[in-house]
Amino acid sequence: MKTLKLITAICLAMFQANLIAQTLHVVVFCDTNDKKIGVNKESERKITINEMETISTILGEYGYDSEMYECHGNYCNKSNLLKVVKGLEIEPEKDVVFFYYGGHGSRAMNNEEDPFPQMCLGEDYEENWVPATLVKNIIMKKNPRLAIILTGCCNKEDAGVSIKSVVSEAAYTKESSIDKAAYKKLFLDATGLVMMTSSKAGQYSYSGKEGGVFCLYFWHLMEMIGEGKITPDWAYLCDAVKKNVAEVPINTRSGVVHQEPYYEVTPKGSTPNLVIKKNTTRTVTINNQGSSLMSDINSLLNQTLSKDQRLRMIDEIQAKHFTQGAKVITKGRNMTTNVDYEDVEVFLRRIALSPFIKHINVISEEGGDKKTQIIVHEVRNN
Amino acid sequence: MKPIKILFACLFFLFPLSGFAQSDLTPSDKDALQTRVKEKVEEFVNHLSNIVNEELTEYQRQNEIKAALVLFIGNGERYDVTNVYGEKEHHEAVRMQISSINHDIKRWLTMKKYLWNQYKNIHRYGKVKIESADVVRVDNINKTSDGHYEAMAYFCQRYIAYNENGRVVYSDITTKKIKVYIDALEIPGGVIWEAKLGDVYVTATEPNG
Repeated sequence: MKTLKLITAICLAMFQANLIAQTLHVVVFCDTNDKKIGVNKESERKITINEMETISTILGEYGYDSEMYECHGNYCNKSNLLKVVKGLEIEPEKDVVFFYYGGHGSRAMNNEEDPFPQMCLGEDYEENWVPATLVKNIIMKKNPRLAIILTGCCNKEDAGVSIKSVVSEAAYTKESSIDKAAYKKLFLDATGLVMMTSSKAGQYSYSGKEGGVFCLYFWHLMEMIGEGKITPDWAYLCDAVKKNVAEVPINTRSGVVHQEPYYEVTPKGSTPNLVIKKNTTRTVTINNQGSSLMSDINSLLNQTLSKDQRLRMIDEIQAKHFTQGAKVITKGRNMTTNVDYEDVEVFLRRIALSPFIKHINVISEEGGDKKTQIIVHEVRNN
Repeated sequence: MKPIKILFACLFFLFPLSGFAQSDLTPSDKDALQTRVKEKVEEFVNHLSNIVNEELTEYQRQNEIKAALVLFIGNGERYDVTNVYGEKEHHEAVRMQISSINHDIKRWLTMKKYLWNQYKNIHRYGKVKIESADVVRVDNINKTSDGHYEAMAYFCQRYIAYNENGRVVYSDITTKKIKVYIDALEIPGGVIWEAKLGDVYVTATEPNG
């Protein structure tokens, strides 16, 4: 959509080659244009971006940089997907990759070898659909320490869908209540591959305006890991997601149905010793402006500056990034409820003075260099 | 786990429909807004603490007043509300009720005046401290007969005044409740549920310690 300058992101990633060590690579593709499920996938996109922003901030405290590639609307297509996934600069045995797709999915008839779906990516022609297993193979060939590949889409056979090659080519939201060690264990201590799709072969996946049942349960259970309520273990998490989603009775026109997610968790050998870098700079490459905007907004939360200093930064940040009369919408953690709507000056003053806000996740932006509106989520420490 | 199952049951029972009616809060909306109301009240109590803290700069303390006032309906000024008949109803500015352990009289001041009085330390104490004495609690959000949503929030503040020598000359713990108004605001591309604080009532005043 408007916010994404994919070419800039890819170029930035290329220039950053070899400079990045221990990085969390977040790739999110959502088909938000679709007439039937676009709204649902927009909710999933916002939820996923927001939760991964929060997790990236936490992992930053353990020395991990992060990069985020986010494509939705017209940018959600095969060409961009392969460019982004093949272009990931992964430090072997060190980096972590998180991939999420939300949109339509399908599978070929009689393809018993691959239990995972093909992602339709907003493409009309089935030859442009990409098997999730191909994405896995491209990523795993780069030998990340951990790869998490999630697909929120149908996995139902369609007569017109062909079996495609999955052989990869040559290369490629209360902070104080968050148990940071649990996220560290899940993302930084775990190794191998986690691959999960919202429904097993032969099943449809269902979603509502607030997002897909799989996506909502996945992030709800991830939140419970962050609250220390369930074991920070991928096999445990995937099993819990599978069981919880399978229990939900879904009312459809043809009666009540159930959807059962499918997953594979493959741990690697022993965990390598990680070199912990403190206070590393976080890199978010949604686009140049986004990175600078988020960083400037978050500078108002810098505890090493006095509140006076932070208040005096507001005019400059406002003039640099926002048009006159720009608005800020704050989303609740469900990414559906808009809980605040403020003039940008009021928002900036509020966060500069608040002792409760730890981090601001910028979910989306509207406007050119100067924004007319942004959507944010607050990570709080109370 | 139970609440989320109920949420999903509601969500998918409605799946064949086009979506929720925009004028009604979903259970998920109510959860999000209840949390938001709690955050706003906590921010208000924090602003109060800073407004009376003369160790902070005047610049910060004045900004704390501005930030506190925008939490309230009408931003601390007189305001209009459109009623169910489409008529504008004029309302006086939001008020703060004040009390003392020394007498039974409770007085009302406009919020703006109350905050500026605190800023100016009109009692001329050597030093004043206002701090939160308990967690903020928010009741369930309910729909009123005129189609609006309301909730009641409760907070408890400890007020301590010191003389020039640092001796405590007055202190109390006051429990207060705030009426919170939640209204839908139509904006391009959606609906915002705006939670604004209303009048603040004293429910109990007791000696501190």
